[in-house]
Amino acid sequence: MKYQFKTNINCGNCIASVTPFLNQIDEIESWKVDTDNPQKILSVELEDGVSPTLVLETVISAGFKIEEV
Amino acid sequence: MDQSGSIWKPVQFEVGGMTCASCASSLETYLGHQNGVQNVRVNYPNKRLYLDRQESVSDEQLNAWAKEIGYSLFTEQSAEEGAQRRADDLQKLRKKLGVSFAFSAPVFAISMLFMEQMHQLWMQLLLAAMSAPVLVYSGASFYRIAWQRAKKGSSNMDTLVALSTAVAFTYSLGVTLTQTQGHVYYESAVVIISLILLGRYWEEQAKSKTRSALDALFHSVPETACVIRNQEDIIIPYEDLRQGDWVRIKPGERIPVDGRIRQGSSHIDEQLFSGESLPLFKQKKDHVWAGTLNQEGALVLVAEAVGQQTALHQMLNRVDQALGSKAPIQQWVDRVAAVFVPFVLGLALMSFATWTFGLHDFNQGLLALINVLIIACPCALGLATPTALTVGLGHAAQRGILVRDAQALEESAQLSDLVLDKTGTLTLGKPSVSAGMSLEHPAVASLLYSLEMESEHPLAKAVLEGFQNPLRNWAKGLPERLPISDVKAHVGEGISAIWQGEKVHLGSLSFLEKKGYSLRPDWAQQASQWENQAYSLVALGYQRECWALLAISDEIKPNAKAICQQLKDQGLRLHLMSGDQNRAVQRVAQQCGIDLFRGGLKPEDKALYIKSLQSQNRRVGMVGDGMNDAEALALAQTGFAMGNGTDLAMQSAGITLVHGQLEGLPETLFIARQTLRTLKQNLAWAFAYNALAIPLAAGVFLPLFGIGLNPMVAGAAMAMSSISVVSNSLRLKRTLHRLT
Repeated sequence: MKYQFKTNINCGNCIASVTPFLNQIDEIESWKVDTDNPQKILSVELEDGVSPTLVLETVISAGFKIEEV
Repeated sequence: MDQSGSIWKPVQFEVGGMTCASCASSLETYLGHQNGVQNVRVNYPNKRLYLDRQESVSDEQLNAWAKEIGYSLFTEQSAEEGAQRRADDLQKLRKKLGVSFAFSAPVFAISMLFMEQMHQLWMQLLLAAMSAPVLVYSGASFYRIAWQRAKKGSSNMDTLVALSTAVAFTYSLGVTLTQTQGHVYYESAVVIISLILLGRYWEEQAKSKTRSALDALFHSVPETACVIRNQEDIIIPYEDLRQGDWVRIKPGERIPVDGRIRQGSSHIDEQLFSGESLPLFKQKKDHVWAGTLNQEGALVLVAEAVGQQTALHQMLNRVDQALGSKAPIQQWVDRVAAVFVPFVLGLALMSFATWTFGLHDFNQGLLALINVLIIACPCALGLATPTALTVGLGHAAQRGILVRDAQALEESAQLSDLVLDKTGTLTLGKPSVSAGMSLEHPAVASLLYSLEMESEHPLAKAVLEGFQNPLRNWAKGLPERLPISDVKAHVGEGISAIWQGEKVHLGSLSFLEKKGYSLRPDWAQQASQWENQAYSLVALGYQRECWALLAISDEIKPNAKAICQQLKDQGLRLHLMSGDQNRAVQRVAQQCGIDLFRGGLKPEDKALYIKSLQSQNRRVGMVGDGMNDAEALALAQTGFAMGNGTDLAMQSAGITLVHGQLEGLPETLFIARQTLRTLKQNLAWAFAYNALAIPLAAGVFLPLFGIGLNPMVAGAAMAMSSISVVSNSLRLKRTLHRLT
């Protein structure tokens, strides 16, 4: 399942700091931040049946703001 | 000084100026007593110093301390720089040796051939002029080391050399310049220096050949890695890998990080850690280790440890430390010298005192003092160790046994326990078909052959090799390749295909059971027996029946059992250790007649096992081939590396069996024991003749019989001891040739 989130992951450095957190999650198939979009959209593909709150918790624990689109 | 709460930082240096094993312990002791320094370890063969220091202690300060006792420290250099400096040192020694021989040879020849003219002034001046460069240039290090030792009240081989050559030369020079009656001993001074330098040169040359495989491994990581960042594949330098990176691994690539598989599955060759050659099947969520080799599949990993944190680096660091902490043993000649020097000095002073104060003859007293010192130093001492070692090491080399240095040979003569690695050491190191059963049907072999040709499974290779190896009697010749279709690999289970319109399956027993085959009761019984002995089973199924059952294992080398018996006959207690599963280790132990065995060991467990034996005062040898054996090889008194194994194993071990030949083990022990015996005999001969002449030199018989020391007696004693030593070493050569 694909999900999209609004974040404050603004630039390459922010992506670098959030990477280890998201990468550790086995349930995340893939993810990408579009920093060109003013809303800094994080798109995540999750394994079927996994709740998107997992992504919210992970990004918050990395120190960023996030909300579902 | 308040040192609480301060930070200890580990550092390492290259050490210059170390000439013997006891230098290493002097440096350790001296630096260990300085403020702000702890945990000092010197690796003598690699000339490296490891220590922990506080921030207040600078590199310059450490170097200054080392200089106080005659060594110099070089900050950590690149491998090439270190190699360059070692090459320069060897070059310097070669120059010294050349100068020494260029002058000693004529001095010796003249002294022996023109004895009648020796009293003439011009002759003596010529000899003095030719001897001076040998003492001042070539022999300088002996005097420096002797002086440093004397300041600390200890003595060794260098003391004996320095003392006797200095006394012989200055006394002779005195005789020459004052033109008093007396014999000159220029030749004995220079010959001793030349012979001993020659021995040192051989030793250094042997040592310089052991290249730093460890350094190479530290730097052997791939230069770049492919990571997925923000959904893009980018190639980054290895150093930029971070924990948490998603790393893409292509088939055939070496894995750069410790991590967990996220995507894909593949067989991974983990020989590096387990020593086992059979690759393991790994899939999502399984762990993989840096340095292991990916085989057929593409993987994506999440990195859990990178760079210095990986298990590989930690293992290499432990090997490095184990090599560094190995205590150098004192060489035999130094052990003898440490007793002999004070003994001779005491005698010399006693005879001086007796003549001067007892008999009131100061001149005779001085003469006795000098004579004792000169006569005490045997020329043969310079020959005793090198000749025996040259014979022993040379013979070993001819038998494909490379011994790194004298210490390794000496230690192996005294072993009480030998710990053997299983895979690749006692066994052939690769799986092969050990046994099998099949239906009497002409198509069986052809089906096996055709299916295995399509398979990429590691065991398939073993089966195919069975067909190609004419020694295996279960398959006669290369079978026909059948036209099979719809070949499908079932990852981790086996392979299936269609032949003559019906399904055929080849794979593990559980795979065949899953596909609905059943085993005949007698086959099932045999199968479970094989499984208990840790054989890997491969079964072939066709038309709902099991057509063939093969038992595959890593078999012991043909001579393994006999060699183990020989080693036991030589008085060794044998241990078998392996990273493989316990049942397989037990089977090999039983086949080889080894009572003590342990399976499922990680590299550090092997090291612990060695340590626990050593703590029971056992002298432990270790035989291994893999990187996972390196730490144990370095820790053991003597490490034996299989020459067909990894470079790291060979660097960690003192002895390398070039062709991986097991018979090298009993041979090494035999050669080492014989050589050590000869070496001790040589030293006894070397000192015996000269010690016998000491009473003469002291003038004991002068008042009694009127016999004093004359040059003939001195010359005869020196010649006899040299001849005895050389012929004793030649006798060793004959013994070794006869018996190995």
